[in-house]
Amino acid sequence: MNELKIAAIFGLILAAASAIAVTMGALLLQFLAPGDQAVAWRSVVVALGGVGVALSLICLLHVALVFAGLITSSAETRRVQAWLGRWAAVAGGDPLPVAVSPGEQRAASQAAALILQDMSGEAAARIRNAVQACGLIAADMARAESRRGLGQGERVAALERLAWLAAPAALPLFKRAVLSANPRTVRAGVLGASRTLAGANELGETGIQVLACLQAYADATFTAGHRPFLSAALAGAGKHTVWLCAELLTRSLPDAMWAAALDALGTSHPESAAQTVTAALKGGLEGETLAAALRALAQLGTVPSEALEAVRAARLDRHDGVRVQAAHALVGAPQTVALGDLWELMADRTFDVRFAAAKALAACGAAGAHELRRAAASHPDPFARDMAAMLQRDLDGPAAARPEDSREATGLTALTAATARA
Amino acid sequence: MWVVDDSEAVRLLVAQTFERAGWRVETFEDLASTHAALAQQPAPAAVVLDIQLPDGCGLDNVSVFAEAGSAVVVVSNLVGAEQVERAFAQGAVDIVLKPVDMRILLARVERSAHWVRLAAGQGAEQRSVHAPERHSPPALDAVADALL
Repeated sequence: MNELKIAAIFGLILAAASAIAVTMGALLLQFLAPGDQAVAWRSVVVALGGVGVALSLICLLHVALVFAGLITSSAETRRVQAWLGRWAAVAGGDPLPVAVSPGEQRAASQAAALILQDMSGEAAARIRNAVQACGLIAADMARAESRRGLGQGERVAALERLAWLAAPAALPLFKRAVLSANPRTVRAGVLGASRTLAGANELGETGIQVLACLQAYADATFTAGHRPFLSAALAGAGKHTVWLCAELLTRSLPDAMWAAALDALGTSHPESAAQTVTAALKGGLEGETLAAALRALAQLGTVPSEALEAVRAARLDRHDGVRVQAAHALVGAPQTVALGDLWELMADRTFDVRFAAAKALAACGAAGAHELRRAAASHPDPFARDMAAMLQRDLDGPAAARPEDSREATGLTALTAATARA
Repeated sequence: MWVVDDSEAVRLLVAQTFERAGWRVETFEDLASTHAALAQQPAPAAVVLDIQLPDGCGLDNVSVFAEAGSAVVVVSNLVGAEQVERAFAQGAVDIVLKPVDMRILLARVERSAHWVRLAAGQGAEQRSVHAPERHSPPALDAVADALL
C-alpha cells in the first residue's frame, strides 16, 4: 500500500475521532446542564450508533483497499509468470517478442530481471538484447527518473529491475542512486554498476564509470554495515570481479570497503584473486582488513609463497579474529609449515583460536588428522589437549561415543552399557 | 530428470532447456513434494538440486537421491568451500554456481548422468524409462568435452 492510501485512511480516522470527541463533549455538557436526563441518554445512544457506523465505514474502506491491492498484486503476479515463460522460450532460441504493450511493460521487465538473476551466458545475452529491443530499458529508465505520478517504491523498483538487467545505458542513473538517502536506492545503484561491468566484454569506459560510481558511494553513503552487501555486489561483477577489487584495494577507502573487496575476492577465481589478496597483504594490512584478507585466502584454499610470511605473522596478531582467520588460512599453506604452526595455535589463550586451529588441523588431510590425535594425547598444553579431544570426538561421530559400539570397550563400559539397555 | 528449486524462473529455464534437449523433466519447489514423488516413483536419472529451499537445506538431501541412483548436480549461489565438501561427501556428482549458463548446466548434467549410469554398471542401451531420450548424444558429449 502506498503512502497516499495510508495517509487517506489515517485522515479518515482523524476525522472520525474529532467528530466523536466533539459529540462526547456536547453530551457531557448536556448531562451537566439541568434538564431531562432521558433526552441526554437518547443522545448518547444516537452518538454511539454514529460512532459504530463511522468505524464500520472506515473498516470497510480499509478492507476494500487491501482487497484491491491483493487483486492487483495477483494480476501482476500472473502477468510476471506469463512473461517468465516467454523469456524462457526466448532464452531457448525462440524469436523475440515483437512489442510489449505499456500495461505489460513492468511485468515483462520484472520477469526478465528475475531470470537474469539466475542465468548467464549466451541465453542471458539473448534476453538482454530482447529486453533492450522491446523498449523495456527505456521504459524502466523513464520510471526510475519520474518525478510525477509514481511513488518512491515504484521508482526504486524500476531501478532494481535495471540493476538486474545490467543496462549500460542506466549507468548514470546508478551513479546518482548511490548518493541517495534511501538505502534501497543506494543498493540498487551499487548492484547495477557492478552487474553492468559483468556484462561488459571489455573494461574500457564502463570500468572507469563503475569505479567512479563506487568511489562516490564510498565518499557519500557507505557505512561498515554495508560490507556483506557490497561483497556480494562486487562478486556480481563476474569475470571482472578480480580487476574491480584490485582497483578498489589501490584506493584510499574505508577499512570495511577494503574488507568487502577482500571478501569478494575470496569467492572469485583462485589464481588471480590469490595474487591480488597477496599484494594487499604485502601492502601491510591490520585489524578487520587483515582478517578479511586471511579469510579470503582460506576460502580460496591457497597461500601463495609470497603471502606465507604475512599469514604466519598473523597467527601472533593481538586481535583474536585475525588469529582465527590465520588458522583457517594455514590449511592452504605447505604442510611442513602449517602443521607446526597449527600445533602452536592449539595452545592459544583464546578458545575461538584453539577451536579454529583444531578445525584447521582436521582439514589438513591424513597428516592433520594424525596431528589432531597426537594433540589429544600428548600436547603439552592441557587446553589444547582438551580441544583436540573434543573435536576428535565430534569428527568420529556419535558411533564412537557409544561404548557398546567400540571394539575397545572395556568390561566395565560393556557392563554399564548392558545395564543401561536392560 | 528432476529440478528442485524454489525459484520459478530457474525451474522454468532448466525445464525448457532440458526438454528441448530431449529430457523428460519434472519440477519441484520444495523438498517435501520431492520426497513424496520419490516415494511413489523410481528415482530420476538426474536431479538438479538447489541448496537453499523453503523447507530445508538441499545439501542434507543429496544422499537421498544419490543412494537412489540419481546423478545429483547441486546448483546454488551459496557455494563456499564447506558446501562443496559437504555436497561431494553426500554423493553429489557436480556443483554449478548461479547465475547458470544453461548450455554448461545441460552438458554437466548429461555428463554426470552418464558417469552415474556407468558406475551403476548399466550399458547405454539399458536406459531406464526415466532416463532421458537424447536427440543427439554425440553432439552433447562434444559440447560437454569442450566446456568442461
